[in-house]
Amino acid sequence: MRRGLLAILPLALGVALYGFAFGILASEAGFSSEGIALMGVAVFAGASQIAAVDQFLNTGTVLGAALAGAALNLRYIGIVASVVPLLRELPWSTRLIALQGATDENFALTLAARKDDPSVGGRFLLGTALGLIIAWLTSTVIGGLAGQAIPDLERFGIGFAFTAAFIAMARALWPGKAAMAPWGTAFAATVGLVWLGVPTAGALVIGALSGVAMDFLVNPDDA
Amino acid sequence: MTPEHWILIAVLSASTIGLRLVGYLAGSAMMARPFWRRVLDVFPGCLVTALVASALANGGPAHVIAALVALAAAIVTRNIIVTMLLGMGAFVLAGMVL
Repeated sequence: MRRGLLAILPLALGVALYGFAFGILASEAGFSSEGIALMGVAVFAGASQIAAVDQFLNTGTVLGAALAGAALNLRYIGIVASVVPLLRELPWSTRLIALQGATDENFALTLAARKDDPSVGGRFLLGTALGLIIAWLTSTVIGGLAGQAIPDLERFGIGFAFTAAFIAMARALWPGKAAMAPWGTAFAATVGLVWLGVPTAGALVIGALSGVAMDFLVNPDDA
Repeated sequence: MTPEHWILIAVLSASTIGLRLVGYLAGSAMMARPFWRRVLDVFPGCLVTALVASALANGGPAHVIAALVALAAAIVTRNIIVTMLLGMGAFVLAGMVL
């Protein structure tokens, strides 16, 4: 477990910076420190927390915000599926912690470490999960406190922080040229729907699904 | 915090834990089916793109300029913090100039 904790440290530092920014933005959206801490543990999925709080801030609707955040988490089905054999090595109590702590950052790190060293298993994964949970919780709460202490964050461009974060996430998710048509379709469809007056939450989901449909059309052999 | 804030935490938490459980219980079976594998692979990228698109469609020229700067920063540095800082800086500057 300690090996996992040590291995995740560099990534945990990056996550902490990102968590600090999220905390500021969440406090901007009206979340208290307790609320930010509770969300950190109960959701523990950075991108979806950002997407949900962003939508909540801009549209004020719970349903749209939750939908955007949840939709982004569909990838967890694949992430968790890939570490099920490792999770099964753990007793139930810690297995649930490692399951809740499975994220983009640590599942890839753990699987890569396991490729080099077959002794890497569930306890390593648990260590990485604990490291990330501690980093995320501390940084988001400190960010929230900073957000409450510093008024008028708009002048630092905080209104664009989420959009910039999504652009960075898109870069990280970019799988190569095959994504050009589906992502382009998702972009164009969403812009068109918003301009037509469709509520943002609906435009997001329909826009993203149009992109998926386009992928089936233009990349038939990919399956 | 309003009741809506707490409801959002509850709903988002339930859905995320639910998806992790689906992954634990049925993930392998779903990933073995080409249709679901494709949907799960492609959807997140399309959704992130849609999130950027909706922000730009709801925003003004300063958003578009800052988005281009952030995109360049993301491609070059691949670093989320640098991308956020440069995008926010560009947004403030563009807002002053425009």
